[in-house]
Formats: sequence, C-alpha cells, structure tokens
Amino acid sequence: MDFKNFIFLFTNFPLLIALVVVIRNYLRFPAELKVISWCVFLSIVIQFSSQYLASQKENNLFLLHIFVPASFVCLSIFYQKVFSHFIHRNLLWWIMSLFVVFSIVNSLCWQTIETFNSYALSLESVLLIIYSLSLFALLLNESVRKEKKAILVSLRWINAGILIYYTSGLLIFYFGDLLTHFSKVRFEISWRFHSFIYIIQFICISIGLWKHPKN
Amino acid sequence: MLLPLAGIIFLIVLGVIFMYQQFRKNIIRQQLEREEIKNKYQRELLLTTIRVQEEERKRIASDLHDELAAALSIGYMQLTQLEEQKEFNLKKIAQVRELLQTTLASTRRISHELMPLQLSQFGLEKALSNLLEKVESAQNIQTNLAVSRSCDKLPWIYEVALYRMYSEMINNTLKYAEATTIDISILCKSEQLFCQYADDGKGLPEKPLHSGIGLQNIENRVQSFEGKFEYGNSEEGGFYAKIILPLETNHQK
Repeated sequence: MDFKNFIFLFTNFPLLIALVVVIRNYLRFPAELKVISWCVFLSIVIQFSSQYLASQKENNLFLLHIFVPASFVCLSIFYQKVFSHFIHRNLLWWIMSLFVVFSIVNSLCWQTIETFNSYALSLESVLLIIYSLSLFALLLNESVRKEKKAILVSLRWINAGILIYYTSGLLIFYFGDLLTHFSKVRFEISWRFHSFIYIIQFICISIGLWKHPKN
Repeated sequence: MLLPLAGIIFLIVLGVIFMYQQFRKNIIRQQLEREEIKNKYQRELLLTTIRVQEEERKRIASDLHDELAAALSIGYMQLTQLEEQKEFNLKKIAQVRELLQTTLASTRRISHELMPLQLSQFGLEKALSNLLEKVESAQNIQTNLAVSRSCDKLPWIYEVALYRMYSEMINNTLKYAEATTIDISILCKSEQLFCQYADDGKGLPEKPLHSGIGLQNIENRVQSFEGKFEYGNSEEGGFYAKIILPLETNHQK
C-alpha cells in the first residue's frame, strides 16, 4: 500500500475512534460535547459518502457544499454554548445565519456544486479561527477556568484540534483555486497534507471527548 | 495573492480583539453582579444574626418574667402575709418552700438552655448524647451518634457552635420531618472537622420560599469559622447536612 492510500485509509481511524467514544458516552456528555458529537456524526457520514463516490469515480464536491454550512452550524452552536455567559446572546446566531445564507448563495451563484467552494471554506476557517483563538484568550481568565473546570481539559483539546485544522486548512482552501492550476502531483500533495491535519483534528477531538467530565 | 492573505490575518486579529473586548465587558459585569449578591447575602446574614439575638433575648426575658419574677413575687407576697399575721404558720412556710423549689428548678432549666451543663463539664459528645437521649425518650426516633476519638479535645468555641447547630437541626427534624432515625457523625482529620447530619424524614420542600432562620443561623455560624455548609435532600428522601470547619490552632480551649 502506497503512502497516498495509507493516508486515505488512516483518515477514517480517528473518526471511528471519536465515534466509539461518542457512542459509549453520549448520554453522559455535557451540552457542549453533545454538539461536538453531532459534528463527529456529520463528518463520518460525509467522509464515507465522499470515499464511496470517489471509488465510483464520481464527482463528490457537492458533499463539501453540504458539509461546510452544516459543520459551521455545529461548531458555532458549540462555541455559542461555551461563550454563553460571556458574549451577547444572539451574536453567534447572527453570524451563523449570515454564513449559511452566504454559503447557499455561493453554491448557487459563484462556485456551483460541481466546483470547489473555496470562498465558503475560507470564510468558515476565518470565523472558526477567531472563535478558537478567542476561546483560548477567554480561558486565560481564572474565573472562567473555574466556571468551566469540569470540561476544561475537553475544551482545550477540542479547541486545539479545531485551531490546528482550520489554520492549516485556511491556506489550502485559500490557495485552492490556485492549486488546481498547478500540476496534479502538487495538488495531491497539498490534499495529503489536508488529510494529515484532518487526522490531527479528530485525534484531538477524540481525546477531548474521552476526557469528558465523569460526574 | 499575499495582500488578501495579510487582510485575512488582520481580519482574524480584529475579530479576536472584538471577541476579547466582549468577554472582558461581560466578565466585569458578572463580577460586579457577584459582588452585589455577596454584599446582599452578608447584609441578610447580619440581619439574621441581629434577629436571632433579639429573639433569644426576648425568650430569656419572657422566661425570667413569666417564671422567675412571677414565682418570686408570689413568694414575696406569701412572706409579707406571714410577717403581717405574726404567727407561725407551718402550712404557709411549706408553700413558700415549694415555691422556692419550683423557682430553683426553673432557674436551672433556663440556665441549662443557655449553656448545657454537660457541654461545659463533659464536652460535646456527652452533651449531644444527652440531647439525643431526650429526643429518643420524648418521641419514637432512633438516633445514632458517632464521634471520632480525634475529636476529644476540641476548642470550646467549636464545641458550643457544633452543639448549637446540631440542636437546631434536631429541632427542625422534630418539628417538620416526621423522621424515624437521626444520624450524626463528627470526624476530625487533617486539621478539619467533618460533621454530618441526616434524617429519614420528609426532607426540605421542593420549592422553599427561603431558607429558614434556623438554617440561616447555621450558615452564619459556619461562615464565622470560614467553613463550608451544604444541605439538601438525600437520594433516599430525608434531609442531610454536611459541615466542614477548618480547625485553627489559635482558638483557645
């Protein structure tokens, strides 16, 4: 098995580990981790569907047009729950609604469902990087750490995973259009790197879910 | 190509600064609200202390007035009558003696209520044991008391406080709980005093309008020792309370 196929297959393992952790502990999870569990389910459905379509040599890019707004909704709800006492109640809901509208308009008008939706992905990454950096800044406050004590470790791992994935991914999504103009080899290298950071993200999420508050 | 990227980074930085400002504003607002609640709570505790003190004074004044003063004035009148009659009336003297005996018993009762004799002479365990014996004999309640040996030489101030707190909780159980058992345990460990109280009665009402004066009084005492007080309904349904008091070496026995 060559490196390309190895990465391709190995991408599924952290997702499956996260799924096992979710299935075992979903009922014991606090609200924040339940939202991350939805994100895990969504990622699994999209991942396996896209792999199936790829194996059938069919265009699977339309899945990305579903995944981007759906994952942003999940992660926004997660951050909304974490920030709930520290930010205006409706701010994140407004951002989330505007993003979903933008994403739909983008898929209908500018980057249709057969193409790579780099605009929506880039915007999603920018917003999630802002959220994740803000969460790390928020956790510098001792009173917040005390309030979030029960899920502090989980929050740190999950937030780190999101920050690593979307920061690295931003560059790929941002240069996505440009990469398609390069040779196929360079394009594949960048997507292998994408798979690698995707693995890192789900390893972090799995650890975060595993370290959920036991009581 | 790089200029828009610089713009994106600038946007991220702006976004994080905006979010951080929002957090700061809300954290400060929450801290102020917490301070306000804390101040209000302390004012309430102070008022409760004053109210409890005044009620105790009223009770003592009422006991002194209704029992001692009344008995002594009857005794005074009877002795005045004897003096006016100028004759040796054995029956009257016996009446005065009986009256003095009753007055003496009342004085003892009032004095014991203020400070139980067992507590000052034999310590907390004996005083609590005596109190529980009275409860068992008065009502059909089984009581269990467990005091660890390490609690033998508690500072006086702790013994009085614990006795008062347990008396208050026992009083509540007898008044409202319809319980059949009361469990008390006291343990001294690592410079801390762990006290537990539990009954198998009705427990606290689901939506109490406010914590009663008795519980507020206990909270007040615990706070004066910088301790922790937790109470509520146990899973089995009865009332439970946990008190943790730090043991300070500067408290004199």
